[in-house]
Formats: sequence, structure tokens, C-alpha cells
Amino acid sequence: MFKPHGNNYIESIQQNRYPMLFIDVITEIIPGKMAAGYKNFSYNEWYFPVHFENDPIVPGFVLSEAMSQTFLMALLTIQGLEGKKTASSRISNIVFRKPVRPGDRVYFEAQVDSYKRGVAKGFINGNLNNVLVCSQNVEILIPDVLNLYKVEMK
Amino acid sequence: MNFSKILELQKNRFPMLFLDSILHLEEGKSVKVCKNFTYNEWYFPIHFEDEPVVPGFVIMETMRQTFLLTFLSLEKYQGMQTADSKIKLFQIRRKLIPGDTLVLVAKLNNFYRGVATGVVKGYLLDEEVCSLDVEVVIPEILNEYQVALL
Repeated sequence: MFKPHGNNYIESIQQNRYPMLFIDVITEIIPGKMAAGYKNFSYNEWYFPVHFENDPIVPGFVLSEAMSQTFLMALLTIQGLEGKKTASSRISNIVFRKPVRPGDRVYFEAQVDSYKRGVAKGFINGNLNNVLVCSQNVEILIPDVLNLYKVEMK
Repeated sequence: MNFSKILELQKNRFPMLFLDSILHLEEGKSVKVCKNFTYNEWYFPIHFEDEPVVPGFVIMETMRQTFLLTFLSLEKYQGMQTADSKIKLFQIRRKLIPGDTLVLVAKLNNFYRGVATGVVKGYLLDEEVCSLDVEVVIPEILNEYQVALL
């Protein structure tokens, strides 16, 4: 059985750091296939006092970024890709179904549909108490690998 | 319960507000709140660099702020400034890490002339991990009872 991994493991796999690291614990990983983990939302984070002043709600970009980072965990555990820099190239079908507030714990599940020549595509969703709150499709590049396949112009 | 209630009842603000939601509130008696610990808080990157652990003072402050809600929820005292006066016993039985959800229960034992005493306990999945025996004062009310020196 996969033992839940904390911050040290997450930082060893991918390069996002405080204050832009939005995943707390990884509960499941199948390298190159899927990853699952969760993030605790607490009022003591930098975006809550201003978003919004009397009614703190998790900003959409934070949920989107948390989903992308869960996806990275599934992708970068492929052998040889650990700790590589990544670039987002496309995000589609982002849906936010319910507001997420301080005190909530959102479970993210990422699934890698394809990975080829440094381009990965996948799907991620977020659940709060077994209710779907957000989902998105992503396409992410690994520039180091992608550059190997670039055609040189003469 | 709405988060604005927490902002209304007490004066602590970001980045020193360690409460996330009120689960149950019995005004003037007891309160149950929850605090989520997440890596995206300001003390984790430096405490400690190689392994994030919740600092003891944060646990203590979280419990104290929970306790404040028990008497500040009384209509007469809403939003008043408070001051620490005594902490009799503070215990931590387990280390807390990002990703943990702490549920805190505070009970008000005595509240008289602006001096409040009580007990706070913290639970992690029904296991008691920390406790605090505390006394807090409201200076504004306490001063009314102070004997004037001639």
C-alpha cells in the first residue's frame, strides 16, 4: 500500500515552492498514470484577507493551480523526469461548481491521458466531502524534453 | 456558520488569525472550531526548512483564540480587546504537520468582572493531541472594578 507523502516528497518531485505550492499531502501515485492528494484550505493563507474582505472564498486560480500541481505529481514521477521544469500550454473546460471556503479539505485526483515527447495531457477533478467542486483538462509541456524533438531550421 | 462571524467576534486578523470555521457555538459556554493546517502558511517554509512542523506557539495561539470565542460571543462583549494574563498548563502530545485538521473544543469555566478562565482541548481524528488551561482578561471591564488610589 502507498503511504501518504508529505511536503518533503512533493518538493523533491516538483519545483513549486511557498507561497505557490498548493498541495499538502499525496495519498496515491501511479507514476505516469494517476495521482491523488489533498489540500487543506486555511484562512491563514495570503489570498484570503483580500479575496474577499468579509467573505473569504478560494480564488479560482488557486483551485486551478492546485489541480495542475496534482497533475504534475502524476507526470513527474515518471523515471527521469523528477524535478524537471514544466510549462502550462493549455487549460480547457475549467468548471467551478461550488465555492470552497477556509476549513475545507479538497481531494484532487489527476489522471494522465497521454505523454509523448514532452507533452502531457490529462484530466483533474477536485472533491469536497465526495461532492465534485471543480474539474479541468490540462496540457503541460516539459521544455527540456520537448526541445530534443524540435526540428532545426536551416 | 459564516466566516464573517469570526471576524466580527474577535479582533485577531491575518496573519495571526488561526481559526477557520465555527462548528458549534453555545454562547457564553462552549465552542467547537476547526483549523486546517496547510503548507501555504507563512511559518512553514522556515519552521523547519527540511521538515515542516506546526510551531508550538501557533498551537497555543489557536487554542487561545478558540477560547476567546466562548465569552466574546456574549452580545455585551462582542469585538472587545483582550489580554493574556495566565497560562497554567499547556501540553502537546503529538507533532502536527501540514495536511492535519485540528478540531478544538473550548469550555468557559468562569467569567467574572472581565476575567475569564477555561480549558481548551485539541483533537485530531478523535485523538486528543493538545490541551490548554488558560486565563484571559478584558482590560476595559477589569478597569471598571479597579480600586482608585487616592
